[in-house]
Amino acid sequence: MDNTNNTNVIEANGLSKSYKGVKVLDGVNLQVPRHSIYGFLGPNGAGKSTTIKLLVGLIQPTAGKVAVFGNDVQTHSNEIRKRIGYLAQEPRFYEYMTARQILRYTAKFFYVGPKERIEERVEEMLEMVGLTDRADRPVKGFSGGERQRLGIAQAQINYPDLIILDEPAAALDPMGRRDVLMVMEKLRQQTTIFYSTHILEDVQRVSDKVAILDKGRLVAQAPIQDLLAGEGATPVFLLTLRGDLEQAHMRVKSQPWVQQVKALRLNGHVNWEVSVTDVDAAEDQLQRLILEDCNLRIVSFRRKTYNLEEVFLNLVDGSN
Amino acid sequence: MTTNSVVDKNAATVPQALLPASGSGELSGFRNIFAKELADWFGTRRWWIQTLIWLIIFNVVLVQVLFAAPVLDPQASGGPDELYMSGLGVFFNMLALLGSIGVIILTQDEIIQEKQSGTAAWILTKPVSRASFILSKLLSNVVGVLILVIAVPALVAYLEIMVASGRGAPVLQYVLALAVILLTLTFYITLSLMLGTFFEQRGPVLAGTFGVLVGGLVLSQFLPKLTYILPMSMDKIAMSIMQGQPLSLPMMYELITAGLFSVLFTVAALWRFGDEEF
Repeated sequence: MDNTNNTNVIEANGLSKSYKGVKVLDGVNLQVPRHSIYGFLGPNGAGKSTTIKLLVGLIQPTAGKVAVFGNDVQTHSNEIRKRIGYLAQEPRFYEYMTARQILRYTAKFFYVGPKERIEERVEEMLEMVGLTDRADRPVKGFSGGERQRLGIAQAQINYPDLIILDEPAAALDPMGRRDVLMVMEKLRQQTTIFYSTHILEDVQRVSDKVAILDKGRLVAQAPIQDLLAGEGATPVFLLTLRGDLEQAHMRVKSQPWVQQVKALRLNGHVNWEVSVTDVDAAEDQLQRLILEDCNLRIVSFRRKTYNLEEVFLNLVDGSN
Repeated sequence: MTTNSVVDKNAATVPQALLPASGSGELSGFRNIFAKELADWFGTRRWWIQTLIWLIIFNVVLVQVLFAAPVLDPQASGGPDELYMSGLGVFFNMLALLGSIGVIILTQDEIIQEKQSGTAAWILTKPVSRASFILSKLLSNVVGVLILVIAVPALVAYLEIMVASGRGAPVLQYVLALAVILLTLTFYITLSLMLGTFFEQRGPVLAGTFGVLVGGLVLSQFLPKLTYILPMSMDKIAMSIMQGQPLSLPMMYELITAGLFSVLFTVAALWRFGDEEF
């Protein structure tokens, strides 16, 4: 069943959750596009895991609605869970079972059919996450990274349309993290990935769209390029100039779309940071205004981009 | 995307491909969890350990009553008929009392363990109804207890009584009497599971179940009518059946309330677990 009449796999509206009167999630709206890798970012305690538990039906919202594949999670939870794969922040399995038994058990929640086919699927998942050589060892002896990989395998065993990963790389060493991100990259061809994390580097590396949650509130939601270009923040153009800039400075500053011009002299050049209110006007006119002086040279001109850490800290600090 | 992704991608081309598991209602996932729970009873060494334990427990006394006492004190043991009745009496008494204690210990962490370890939360992110989770636990434990705690020891006891007294118990009556004991143990299984859904620690589950068992046994000495609502004299009902006596009204009440409470505990467990947040 798929009641999605648009391109969003997840649509949350005004999603709230309180525990004993304390709001841990406050009016969150989410739109997760199909076939995206959607990074759900926030500091510890922001409400990321709570949101994810709401998505998979482990808890119920205090207010608001969330639909997955166009179906309400509260009324169609079971149907939805047939089409999703979920990895918890700390994946827990029956410790006495082997990885193969865990995957076989998981597969049987989704499929009926010949044993050989189930085993083929199990084998495929073991290979995908590189656990073939440990397939017949009890899970209790697994390292954190191996558990995480097994978690991804069990989440993918039904070829889900949506895979939800809660902090998939949080407890891993750099190699484990790299492996998990590689698996996510592999899966993006087939599915939509919604994952929470507080590791900004990972988000910047693999995500298409990002939401930032802080203290239970969504403070940003945008394609990663937009966020890195400073969406929501004042656009800034960076120029490196040579020559006498006094007149040009006056001309630029007098433009109604210019907010501020910061100048910094360095190695015979002058670096300008021009904050603007109208990006189109700046792109059209800024260089022309400067070059009205024939003795001025523009060595470089570009719009300032941010790294995710700057964006994240700006938004989170701003919301506080 | 309108196709259900659960269908194997090769379904069209590969014969006997995987098909989506049926059942999306209240019992979705039941078969898989039940199979796993049964495998926990019978697919590991648990089954023979349990069998051994119960055979030893029952036979410590039963062998004494049936085989040692007649040799050591033939007068006190009486004839074959007395031996037959005392053998049955001792066996049903032990089965009801020790069996109840046993099932409380066996089931006290069935739900708590899954909640504490996070495996319940993991399972419930799959297409599994919460009712399936509880009912598969209930049914597998009833089956495990029926076979390992009741049926196997009962078969051995039957043979021992037959050898000692030279008289075989009527099979139908014996089975009915064992069914009464199964009802007793089911009462404690459902009580234990229900308490497991209400609490997060084993302590309250053990306190609640043992409280009912021990408290009921003690209080029923002073308040005989307590047996109307608690299964405290089910061994006597079993013996009445073996003796071919009609069941008295209090006995009928006891049987009915044990059944009703078992249903009530199960419903309460389903309700509570349905609202559980993980």
